Amino acid sequence: MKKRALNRREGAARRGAGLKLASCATNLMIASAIGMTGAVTDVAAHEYNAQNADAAARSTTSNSARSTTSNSAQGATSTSRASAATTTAATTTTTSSNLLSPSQTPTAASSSSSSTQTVSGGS
Amino acid sequence: MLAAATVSSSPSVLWYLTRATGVVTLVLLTLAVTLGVANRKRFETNRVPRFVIDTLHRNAALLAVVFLLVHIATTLLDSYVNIDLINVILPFSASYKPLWLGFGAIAFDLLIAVALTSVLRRRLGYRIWRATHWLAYLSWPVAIVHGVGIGSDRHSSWMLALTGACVLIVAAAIVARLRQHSLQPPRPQGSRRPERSSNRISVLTPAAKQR
Repeated sequence: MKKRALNRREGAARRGAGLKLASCATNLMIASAIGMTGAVTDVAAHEYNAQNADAAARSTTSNSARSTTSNSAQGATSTSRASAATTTAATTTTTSSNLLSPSQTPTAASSSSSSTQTVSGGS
Repeated sequence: MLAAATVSSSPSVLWYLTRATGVVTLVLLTLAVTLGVANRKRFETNRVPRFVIDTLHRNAALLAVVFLLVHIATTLLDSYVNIDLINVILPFSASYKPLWLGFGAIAFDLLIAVALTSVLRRRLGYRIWRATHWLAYLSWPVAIVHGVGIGSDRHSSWMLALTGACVLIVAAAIVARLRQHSLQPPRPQGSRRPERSSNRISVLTPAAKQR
């Protein structure tokens, strides 16, 4: 009789401890879920702000580049022709440097690059 | 605090909440599935009785449903994409990414079916409830596919790591369960199956067990 009562008391204590454990774990779960929601929201907001800042910086750079070009390009035809000449010269240089034989010294390559500078400067 | 400050100053609160609640729902669903798969007598200890794992499994699933409802509500309220309530319930009917949204709708339907049958368990009977409950396991991989296909954070490393961890945890639980099943000694010849009443006791709620 005494043993049965003891067992019952033990069982009730274990059940009580289990319920307390379940309750604590559930509260922890809810708190973690809410905290995680806040953290992910924060990450998303930071990403969005960073992307916006990046886009704004890019648009500012391209705008300033555009305005510089328009300011310097007085006589657009001659400028474009000059740039075309530069491009052609650069292409030639690249081709010639690609065709360099192993016996040729790097001096030749540097001279060819200097010729490019001359062309672009001359135009 | 920081999150609240950032969110209040930005225009896309609903979008952020959709993303965040989606991630949290996936984690909670993984927890619920893991506890459900692993909840066998073998995992019971003196300190953690089986009804504690049962309670946690149920609470995790309920919390997942709550977060899922917030996820859906914020998606519907967000005007960036045009998603209607019918698209949430009826799979593959949306105009925006119908395939990936369809997987989300399937996962939602399955979870709602499981929640409703769990509420009506006593009226439906054990077999129907159990058959429906198995669908909950199907909703988890479908939800993973939905997240991988349409999630805004699917390319970020932390989301990939989180998804991988979820898959690994559930896979480990399934392996442990199968191993336990294979290690069980075969039932001796001529032994009778346990009585129906003992089966029924095993699925009662903790509150009912205590009575």
